[in-house]
Amino acid sequence: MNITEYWRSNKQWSKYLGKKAKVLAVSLMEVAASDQTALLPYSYLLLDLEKSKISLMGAAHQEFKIGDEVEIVLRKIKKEAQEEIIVYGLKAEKIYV
Amino acid sequence: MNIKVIGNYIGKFAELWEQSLTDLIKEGVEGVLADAQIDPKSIDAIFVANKASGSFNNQRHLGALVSEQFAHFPPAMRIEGACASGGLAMLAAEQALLSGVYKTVLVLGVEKMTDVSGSETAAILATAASREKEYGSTFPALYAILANYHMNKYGTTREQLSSVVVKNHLHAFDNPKAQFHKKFTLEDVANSAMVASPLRLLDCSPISDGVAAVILSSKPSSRKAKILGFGHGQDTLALADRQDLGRLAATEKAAKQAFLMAKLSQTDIQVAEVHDCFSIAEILAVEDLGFFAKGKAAAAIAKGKATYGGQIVINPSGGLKACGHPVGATGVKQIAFLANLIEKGKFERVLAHNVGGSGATAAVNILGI
Amino acid sequence: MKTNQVGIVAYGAAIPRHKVSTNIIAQSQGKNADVAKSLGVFSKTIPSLDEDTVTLSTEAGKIALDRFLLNKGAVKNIETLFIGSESHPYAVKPSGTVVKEALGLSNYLSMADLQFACKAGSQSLQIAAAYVQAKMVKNAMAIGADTAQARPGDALEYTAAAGAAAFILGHEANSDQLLARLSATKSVATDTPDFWRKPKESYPQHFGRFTGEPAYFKHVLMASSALLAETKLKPAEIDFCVFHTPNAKFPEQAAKILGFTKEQLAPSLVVKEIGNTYAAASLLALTAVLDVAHASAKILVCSYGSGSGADAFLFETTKNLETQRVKYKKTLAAQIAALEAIDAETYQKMRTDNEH
Repeated sequence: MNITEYWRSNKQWSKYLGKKAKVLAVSLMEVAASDQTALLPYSYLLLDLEKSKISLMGAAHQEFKIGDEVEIVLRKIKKEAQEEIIVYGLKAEKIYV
Repeated sequence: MNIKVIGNYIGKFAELWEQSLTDLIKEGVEGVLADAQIDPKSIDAIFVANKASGSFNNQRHLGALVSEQFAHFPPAMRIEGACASGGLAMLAAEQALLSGVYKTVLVLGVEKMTDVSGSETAAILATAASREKEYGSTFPALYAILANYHMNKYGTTREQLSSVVVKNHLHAFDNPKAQFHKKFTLEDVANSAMVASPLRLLDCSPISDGVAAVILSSKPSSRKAKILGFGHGQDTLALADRQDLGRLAATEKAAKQAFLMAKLSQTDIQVAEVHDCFSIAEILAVEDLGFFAKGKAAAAIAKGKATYGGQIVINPSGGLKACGHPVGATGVKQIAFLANLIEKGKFERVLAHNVGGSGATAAVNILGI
Repeated sequence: MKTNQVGIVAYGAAIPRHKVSTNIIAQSQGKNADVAKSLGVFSKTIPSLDEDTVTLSTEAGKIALDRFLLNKGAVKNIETLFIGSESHPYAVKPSGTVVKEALGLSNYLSMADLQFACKAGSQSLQIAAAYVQAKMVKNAMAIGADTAQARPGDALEYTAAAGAAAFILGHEANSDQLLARLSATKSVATDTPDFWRKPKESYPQHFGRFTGEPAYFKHVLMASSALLAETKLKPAEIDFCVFHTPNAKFPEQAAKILGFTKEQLAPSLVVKEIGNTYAAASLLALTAVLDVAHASAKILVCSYGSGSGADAFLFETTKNLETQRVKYKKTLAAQIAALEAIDAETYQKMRTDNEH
């Protein structure tokens, strides 16, 4: 993700932050594009937001199954090189409390 | 409609270290002209199918690159629809012929994938997905999502996914152009390295270099293979926007159009080359094309209904999985392979199915005599 | 410094999902578990590799924001955000702009990151209160957050933890329903080099026992005493006290010296389970006290920041705190109860993932 893509995407965060969703389908990824290799393994999720669906990376160190309740949070979504910006984005986290 | 496939050629699909993109193009042009036995000057136009030469090879402008293989420089254009580029190039060629502007056209599909690293390849293939809505996914992860959904909803099992792979590798054994001549057991597939659960390494089609070409003509010809019908379906780019994750609606739409045009139904089709970029993709394909009921294909394939002696032969070439998947070439290879089967008198009603991305684009062609 | 009609209208706490026991850290250092006992800390939080000060600030801020809306607040009225941390991810580009985008705060925002070691968060709180007191803005948000890193093998490894606490301030003149009124605040600062980190260094340096009496205790006692003097209050007239928690022992000693009892201090000692969350520490401890305090309770809070300084505050809770609190989920206690303990192998991996 480059700088302008990040900048355009951050306008969408507040629409989804804190929203609850249900897992419709999930895959635990063991192979990723180079941007995310350092974050492996992580889940990729298809989520039901009731009125729409969204697909997001799962929060680090969490495993999910169909039917899990999740919340949308802000996390790092890429392992950036030293000179790059830190890329934050939306992920899904299992509801724990 | 009177469009015949008057020439067909498939190059070897493999990691072709010695051949550049241009070498593959030259081979495809020479090969198909040799098969067609026509004067090169009779090619009125060229449709080039390619997904990502700009990224893989730093070379775009492929229409010009193919056109200059001919002394008379026919008009040429590149068609791109991710993995459906080949099928879409066929549709563009068919429409050009139906319009009457051209009478004989070359459709050439080519992809040279192995000049970049594995992780670069993964990133390039991921461009078939929605950049804005599917960031962080890989192509296997998106199909893994479809597999996870299908297994949960229809009870499709690990073993049934594996049976697709075993079958296609068996078929490829007899295809000299196939990338793999290696038979696998169900256990081999289920025990291969996990890529994105539930899809393992052997559930995934490989990285391949290759070229395939056909010549279509509306002029009278003694060649047997005719285009009987075609269809083109689209759906949302991102999985999250699909209506039903259990099917690829684009395939259903394309199939409906093609069968209507051909005035045929599913039971008429003897052989089909379908888009098995992953094992689950073949299961979805044969259901959405209407060969098997939704949720029933996996069991049918596992029981041998999709191979010789069964209800229909699916992917006799070995499919994308075992024949290989040089992305832009695949859709054209399907046509070339099927046309060749018809020319040899082996089958009379055949279907080619080519999908782009996780199912946003689908092209279906029905051929016969 | 006396204040008037200004106070907390919402607050939120956020800690990572995982904790590691000080026993495991001792094992990894080849030491025995006595070190943990001497610090009074039994476990600490450990962030995942996709978490940092920004993401934890966002979590705490979101909880505070949701509670603010329940307390009849309006997002557009938050026109100030200060975030204090020792682990801002950038040396240049503020954590706060990422946080404000995620929270959907107004573009009309006074915003900056602060650094003053472990008192950067409480200083943010004081500044936010000042903006509101001065009626420059209707509401202001202050966050203290850290994903503290210690050199593996260093004594600080036992306690360097991660967490964030967010507060939203309001003014009664705007009909804001305070949860806790700020009565007074006092800060001290001297050049005391007990603990420091230069920009290109990954880990801080500290000067052993110098971090005790001339640093922590001198400044905490100075600020707290000054506040007690200004408000003319005796410890017995105060219900709860909160002191910065580099470990569990220092606040116990500070409380004793000032004349507070163990019972007054107890609810604030979340450090025992979550470790030292640096710029979030005294603020997270305050959220723990707010979660249990009765109405009209007086709370003395005193942070400490190496380098050195301290911020002292006197809050008084309201009836509205008791009313609003019944709706609160994700309290610090609930998050602590949900912490998953990791084993030694996972600790090694997570520590490597988080390394600078």
